[in-house]
This record gives sequence, structure tokens and C-alpha cells, in this order.
Amino acid sequence: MRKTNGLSEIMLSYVIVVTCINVIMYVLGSIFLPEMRFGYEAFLMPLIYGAVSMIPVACADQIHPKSRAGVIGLQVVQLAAIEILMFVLIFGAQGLSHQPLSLLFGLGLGIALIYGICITGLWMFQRHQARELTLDLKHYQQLHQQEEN
Amino acid sequence: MEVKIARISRDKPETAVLYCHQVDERIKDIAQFIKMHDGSLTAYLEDRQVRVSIAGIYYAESVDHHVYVYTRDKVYTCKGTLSGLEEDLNEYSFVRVSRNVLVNLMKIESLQAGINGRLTAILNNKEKVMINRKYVPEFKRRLKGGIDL
Repeated sequence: MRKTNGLSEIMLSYVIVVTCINVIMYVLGSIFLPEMRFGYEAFLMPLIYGAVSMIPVACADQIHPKSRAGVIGLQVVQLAAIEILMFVLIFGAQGLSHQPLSLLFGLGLGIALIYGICITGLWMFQRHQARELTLDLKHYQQLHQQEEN
Repeated sequence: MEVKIARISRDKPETAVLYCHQVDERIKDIAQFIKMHDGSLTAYLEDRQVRVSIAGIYYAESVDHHVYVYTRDKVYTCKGTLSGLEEDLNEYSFVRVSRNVLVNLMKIESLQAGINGRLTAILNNKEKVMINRKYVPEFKRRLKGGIDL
């Protein structure tokens, strides 16, 4: 199977997301649940959360909005889907009512922050790719211009 | 049909003459093929049949089963399908950038990263053409002179 750009971008998103989840877990955990201790399964949590958060990203990969408003709308829906999935995954059994509001707010903000970092990271990756392709394009045009002359 | 090829000196114009029993679709196709290789294609401008220089085409687009060819300031209609046109223009600098758009690499000024995470080709006439992620590997391959990356 040919490697597509979509797959490599999803992999890049996954790496960024997992790294950021580690940081957010450390920050939120130190603030709200400093006494909590985990077993080895804690190492798997960022990987699982990262994988689950990729579901809305992979689903939206086939949608190509043409306008700026369409793109922003899609990103808002994507973020909302990720927030819902994460809250269900983290608090599913216990429910949200027993959790401190500041923790819920912090988590929601943390997920939005990771999403923002991910979008920025992908945009930087695309910008780098665009610059390299423009250089290749100029080289191609020079070569073909010489051939025509 | 017997095919004869004769070399001529550079001061004489290259000419293809078809001797046939009758001008049928097969002969018309061959004539069309030869004309195509002359660096122009048949298109329609307000129902008037014209020859359009291939080098002057910026991009071609398929909309509702119609194929439109865009030059700097004119839009022509073409008979057939975009896939057929793609085959005809294969030896020129045209590459498919989405399901319904073929773009002339010689008419691209630069490439930019869009906010939707997709690449956008900025043409010399400042028009923008979106490059679908699925077609980026082929786009790169063409820029590298057909070498698989």
C-alpha cells in the first residue's frame, strides 16, 4: 500500500498528542490529585487517550471544506468530538457530577490546548513541505524552460 | 494501415499526410492525435471551435460532467472527460491535483500551506488551486522527474 500524506499527518498528530497528554496529565495531576499513585498501566494511558482522540481526526480526513468558514466549522466539530470522547473515557464510570469544576475546566482547556498545538504543528509541517515543493517546482520549471528553448 | 516515417531537413515543415479510403472516426482520431502533439488542443469558446495552445493552459477542471480549460483570461469547454484530457496532456507538464482538477506545473508560482492542512498552488494569474492530499505523492514524483520517492 502506498504511504499517503494523510497517514503520515495522522501519525505526526498522534506523536504530538501523546507528548502533550503526558505534560497535561503531569500538570493537572500535580494540581488536583497530588496524592494519587498509579501502577504501570499509567504508562499506557497517554497512548490510549491519543489513539481515541485520533478517531475524529481520521473520520474528518475525507472531508474537504473549501471555504475558511467551513474549515473552522469542521475544526470546532472535531474538537467538540474529541472533548466528548475524552470525558467519556476518563470519567465514564464515575460521571462528571462528583468531579471538581476546576478539574473539568482544566481538562477541557488542556484538550483544547493540545488540539491547538496539534493544528499549529501540522500547519508548520505543511508550510515546510510547501517551501520544499516550491523549490523543487522552480527547479522543474527551469529544466523544462531550457528544454523548450 | 501502413505507417511510413521519413526524415526531412530542418528547413522544411514537419507534415503528416493520411491517405485513406474514407474519413471515418478512426482517421479523425489519428488526425486529432497528431494535432494534439502539435502543442494545441481543440476546445470551444461560446460554441465556436478553437485551437488552444497547451502551453497557455493554467488548469483544467471537471464540473458536472463538463470539462473546462482555463487560460490566463479565458475559459474554454472541452469535449470528453478529464481522465481523457489527462492522458492527452500526460507528456506535458500537467498533473492531477484533485479528483476534478489538472494543473499545469509551468503555471504555478508557489505552493502554500492552507489553514485546512492542505497545500494550495498559487498560479501565475494569482488564482488558487487546492492540492488534495491523496495527489501530493504523485505531484512530488512529477517534480522529481518521475522518480518514485
